[in-house]
Formats: sequence, C-alpha cells, structure tokens
Amino acid sequence: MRRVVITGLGCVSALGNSATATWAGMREGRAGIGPLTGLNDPTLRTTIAAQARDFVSSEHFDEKRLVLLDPVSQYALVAAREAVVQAGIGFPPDRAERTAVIIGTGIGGASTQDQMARRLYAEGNPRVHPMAIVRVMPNAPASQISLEFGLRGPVFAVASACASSNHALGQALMLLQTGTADVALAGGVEACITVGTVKAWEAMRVMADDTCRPFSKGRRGLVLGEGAGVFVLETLEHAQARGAHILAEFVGAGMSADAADIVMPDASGAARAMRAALVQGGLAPEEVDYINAHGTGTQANDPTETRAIRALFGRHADALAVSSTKSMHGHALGGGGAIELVAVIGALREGVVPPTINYLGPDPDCDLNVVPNIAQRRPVRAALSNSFAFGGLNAVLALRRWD
Amino acid sequence: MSSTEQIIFDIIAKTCSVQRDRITLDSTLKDLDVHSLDAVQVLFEIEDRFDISVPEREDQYSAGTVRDLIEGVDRLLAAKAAAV
Repeated sequence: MRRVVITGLGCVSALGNSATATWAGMREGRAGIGPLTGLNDPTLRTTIAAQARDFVSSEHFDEKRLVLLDPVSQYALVAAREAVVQAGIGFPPDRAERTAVIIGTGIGGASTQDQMARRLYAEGNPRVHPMAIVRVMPNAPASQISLEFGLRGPVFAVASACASSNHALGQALMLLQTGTADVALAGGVEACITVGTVKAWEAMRVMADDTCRPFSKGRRGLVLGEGAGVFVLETLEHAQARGAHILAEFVGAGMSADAADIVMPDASGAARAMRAALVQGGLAPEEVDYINAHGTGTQANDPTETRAIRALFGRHADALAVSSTKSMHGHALGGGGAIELVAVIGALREGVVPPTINYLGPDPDCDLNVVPNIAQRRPVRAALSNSFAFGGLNAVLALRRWD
Repeated sequence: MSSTEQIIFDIIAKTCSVQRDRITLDSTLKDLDVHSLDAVQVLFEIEDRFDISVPEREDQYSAGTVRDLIEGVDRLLAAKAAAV
C-alpha cells in the first residue's frame, strides 16, 4: 500500500473564504454563527446560521460561468483553487489522467432546486432554466473541478449526509493507496441555507435558537452552516518526486454503519469507525492527541460520541483533547468533515488545538477535555476527525503529523 | 371525549403504531414507548391538523402527559381563535 500525504488545502466557510482565514478563525475561537440573512420567508423560525457571508460570486466567476454554477459548485471551486495554488501543482496531460476528484455533498444544488420549485409551484411559471439539471446534480462540484483543471482520472460524488466529506476523502485515500491514481482533489461541500432545507431542519426540532454549544451544559441543538473544503492528496512518492511541501500524512479512514436507527446515533457504530481508522492508520490509541469531534450540539449526538470515545480510548480519553469546531463554523452537513479537516491539519502542524466555543460549563454526560472556549497549545502527533451521519453512517479520518 | 382529545388520540395511535386503547390521559409519550422522533412527528401532525404552531422545547407538549398535550393544544387553539 502506498503512503498518502496532503499537500494543499482550500476552504470556504463562515469563518472566511480561504483555509488560511478559516484556520485563523478557529485558532482565535471566532464565531462564524450570526443572524440568518438572505432568506425572505416570514414563516421561518430560525434566526441564526453560519453562512459564508463574505462570499461574493462575481469576485470568483464571470457571468457566463455563473449560469452553470449553483453555490455548491462555486464554494467547491474556490476551495479547490486555493488548494491547488498551495500545493504548487500543475496538471500536464500525464498527471491529469492520474488525478482523481472526489467531492462529497449531502444535497447538491439546493438553491437551484429551491428556486425551481418556487417558480413551478408557487409562481406558476412553467419554464425551468435549461441549466437547472447541471446546477442541481450532486456530482456538479466534482465535475466542475475536473473541468476547470482538466483532471481526467476517476471523478465522482459521494453522498452520505453529514459524513459525505469524510467518505469522499476516504475514497480518495483508497484510490491513492491502491495505485488507481497518483493525485486526488478531494473533500466536501454544502450550500444548504435555503428556505426549504432550513424548514426541513426546523421540523425535526433539533435546531438551536441561541447558538451552537457542543458538549456544553445548556446546549440547545445544532446550527446550520455551509461551505467547502478541498484538499490535494498525493502519494508520498509523487509528492517527494516533485519536491512538494508536505502538510500531513493521511493514514486511515474508518467506516461503519450502525444499522440501528435512521437518526439516533449509536455509540458502538461510532467506536467501530474510530477503531477502524486507527487500525488502518497503524496508530496506537495513545498516539492520538486530538479528536475533532462530530459534536453537533444536539442532545443525542454529544453524549453518544463521548461514550464512544471513552469506550475506545479507555483512560487515554482523559489525556486527549476533543473539540467541536462546529461551534464556530456551524454544521455544514456534507461539507462539515472537509472544513473540520482544516482544523485537524492546523492542529497537527502548529501544535494548537482549536476550541469548542460558546461553552457554558460541564455536562456530566460529556466529560471529556473539550477545549472550552480557548485554543490549547499542545503537541499533536496524530489526530482523528469524526463524522456521523443520519442513516447511521460513520466515517472517521486518521492523520499523522509530518515531521 | 372532546374533539381535540379524540383527534390527538388518533394521531398518537396512527403516528406511533400504538394501540388506541393503551393511550390514557395520564400516559406520557415515554410510557407509550414513543421514540423522540416519533414524538416530533406527533407534534407535526397536530400542527398540520389544527393549523397551529407548537412551541419548541416546552415539555408540556412532548414530555408531559397526553392530558398536558391536549390542554396545551386547546390553549393554542383558543389563542388562534382570539387572534382572528
């Protein structure tokens, strides 16, 4: 099996339109959650969200191109550009044919879907835009990245709700490990802040009305976010041959399904995915210094995730740091794991663990070191990143510091 | 049995696959082994049937007894009638 490293990262999130800005926000413990704007519907109960507020489409794309791009593809492309620039990689024909693009998304072109439905059913306008299909399709972000950079290897989308990013990154890892490709642009994206999606989440009664406080006493649920994370993955051999600057080693992706309930999380399923990531990555539990938690801030997730971590790590659970950066960038659904990988890579490289902000005090059912409110400086040799999706689907990434 | 009561018993029985004769005014949804997500669906069916909005995070509606739930819904209905 070939070793795989990360050489570029790109991001769009409520903390900023780059991985650099997002990581700076995470280190500072900055709030990306704020008043919900842009949706004109008086029946919405939701008043807060973690939106990519400073993202201006016309700064990144000309008008002709924008016709083809739902925000879900725009975010993915902007993140991909940053990652490619950081990796300093070009794609001559031989390399382009050996480069994969795997992008996770839970929904796809949600805004386009929403606008189309409004025209058809609310406004009684029978004409649908001819580019609606290519904007809506969940593989649009992957295809648009392939088109922009001329990438001709395996290109596809992965959908597993809130675990889409991590499943996509796990697929990319396997393609590189097995020699199917030498390079991959992989990650995830979501642009889900539409009237329809927000209302559907409201109906589940799991949304916080104040802010997102994972693992904290007084937590009241999740806050929707949006954005993208895209990474340049290469085999170690490929990266070294071109003299690339290596950011971290990507050693494992553990996957499991609960087969228990469509929404309620299951601690044993989560623990099995974490264990699989450690085994694949050749990591002893004691080597893990940081876990970027799924940590949604709901009543159901946080105690279950705590039990899973305790079950797997035993006494080491009290020594490691566990934080939920969703407290800052919200829950970006299928894009969440990719935004959170920015936190993991930052922690590995700088020895700084980003905090769980909005923390009010301990909940006895979530009794881990959750890095309350302020980042902690500590060496991070290896880290896990958890994503647990509705449908009972779990995907956990394992990364090692590159010395 | 008031009509609100009748309708809410029906909704609980249908949404949660609970035998109607197991439901009493003193049962909580928990006593009836209703999963939290089924409880959310009960509230949705009630909102849809009566055209009201059941407030979030008020235990009266999802964690109390069926009597509490019915009283709450009657109050929401009265407030709605008064607002017209």
